[in-house]
Amino acid sequence: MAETTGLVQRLTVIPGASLACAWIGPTPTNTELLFVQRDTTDPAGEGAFKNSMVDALMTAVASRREVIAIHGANDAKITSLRIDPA
Amino acid sequence: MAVTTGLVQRLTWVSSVLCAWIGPTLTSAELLLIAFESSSTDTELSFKRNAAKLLARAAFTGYPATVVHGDQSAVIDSVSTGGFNISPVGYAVHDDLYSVTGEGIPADAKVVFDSPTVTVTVTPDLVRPHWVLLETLPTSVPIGRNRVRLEGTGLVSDWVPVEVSATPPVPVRVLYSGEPKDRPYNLVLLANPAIRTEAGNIVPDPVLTNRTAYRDVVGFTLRNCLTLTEDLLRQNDWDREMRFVSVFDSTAAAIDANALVQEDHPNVMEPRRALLNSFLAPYGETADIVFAIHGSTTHDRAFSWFTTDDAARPGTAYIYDGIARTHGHFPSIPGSVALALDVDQTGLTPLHEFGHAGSDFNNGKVADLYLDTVVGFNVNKKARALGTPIPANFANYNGTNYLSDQNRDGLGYPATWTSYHSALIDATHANLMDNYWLAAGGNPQVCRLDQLTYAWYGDRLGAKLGR
Repeated sequence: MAETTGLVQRLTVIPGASLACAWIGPTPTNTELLFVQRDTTDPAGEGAFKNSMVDALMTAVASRREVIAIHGANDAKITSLRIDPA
Repeated sequence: MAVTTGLVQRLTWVSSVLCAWIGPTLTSAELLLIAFESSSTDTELSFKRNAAKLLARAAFTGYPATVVHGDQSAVIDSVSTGGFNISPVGYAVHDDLYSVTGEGIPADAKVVFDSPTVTVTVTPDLVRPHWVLLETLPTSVPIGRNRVRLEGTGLVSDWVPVEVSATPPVPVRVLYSGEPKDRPYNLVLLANPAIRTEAGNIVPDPVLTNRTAYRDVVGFTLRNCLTLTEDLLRQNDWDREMRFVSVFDSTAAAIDANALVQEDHPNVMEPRRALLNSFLAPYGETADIVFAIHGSTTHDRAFSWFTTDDAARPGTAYIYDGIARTHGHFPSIPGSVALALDVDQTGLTPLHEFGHAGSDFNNGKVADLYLDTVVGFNVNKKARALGTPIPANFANYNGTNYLSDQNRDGLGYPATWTSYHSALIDATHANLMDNYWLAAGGNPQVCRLDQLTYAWYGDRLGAKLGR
């Protein structure tokens, strides 16, 4: 697993793909592109969990708060999200 | 495919359809929509809901939204927000530190806050090409909705809406979040909660009641490390990859676990380095370097402890005088500095102390050159037999031979000394790790490292940044 830390500089939601893309990094041009995606096979609980991560990313954009996105070492799919104390 | 960008002027939810008016004004806005159809799957509906939420957030925050839709269709395919060309960092709070990041920020950059009632222009206390720091967000910036931008030679950035509040200051303030990766090199500046006295008592540290002086020292420390003649930390824009965080927790108790510094007779304050990892963990921080800023006026001489690299984790090999050694990529105990609020800001103390703290106990210490003692393996100092000449060659590092400093600049080696150093980068001024107060011309802030230590440190920092 890997952690990517930074501000959510941009967030895109694509309903047709059930996809949210987050550009995370210290500046607008120094970012990693990571994503949250719902699969049609996700159980309801898993889907709600992913939606709640998208919610948090939305809040982070507006509050300028840092997030820590956890994903595979060679995978941009966000599996966990952390917001540390401020 | 068409793209519409603008402020979200109005949103209406009617008959399972969200209508969004997006544009510079309500009368000139494009009307776009998200239809919540019963034929959609739960998965699709949930992300339509997310897109609707994002539009609502954009409307409430004043952020522009970028919406992709068909050329001949008002149906929204995607919604984006953010995407400014600068990035304010964290909450905007009066009398607290405040950062804005970006790219290509000029040295004369100003931070401009604009509200319906007033425009306030603030000169940053630190300017780097990728971020600016205000030691304090002025109270002249009105509470509530403002917009902020950077202005300077060749730069007028986007306006970014921010909400300014009066209180409370933020305990953990990310100043610059560093490279977006696992464990960027992390430099933490903290207000020390308690002091262990010479007698062994634990007393509250006055720094926690002097936030103004703390912020001032934070700014000084960062300017000292990142803007002076010695470019150790900023070479190759390396500081762009580093993380900088301030921790000022006024609620931290005066207990032994929070006494991160210790008085030493007669006037030295040293970090209690074994406590740093556990102190920082609840704040979510894992440090490479810690500056513990304290308020003692009796024990205000700075002191540092070297890093202890984690030998169980990866490293980068190097050879010094034929001996194989390692630049460890991760610390097990961070390098640490105890720095007083009353530090003389005409000097080089933070950068000098970083010189110690960033080196490693076991694989190369960077030592004080104004002391003749040589204990263990020092990168920058060796000893010779008393009465023998200084060798022409100082050391061989990774196949390159480095000469000795025969003259110790204008300071000269006392006749009774046996220690000697590597040749300087700038032979006209004292070494950064020597008594820089005696620098020729009276300005310590132009002093640099010696050639070997600079090369060694460059490789060491490069190894850690690339981990």
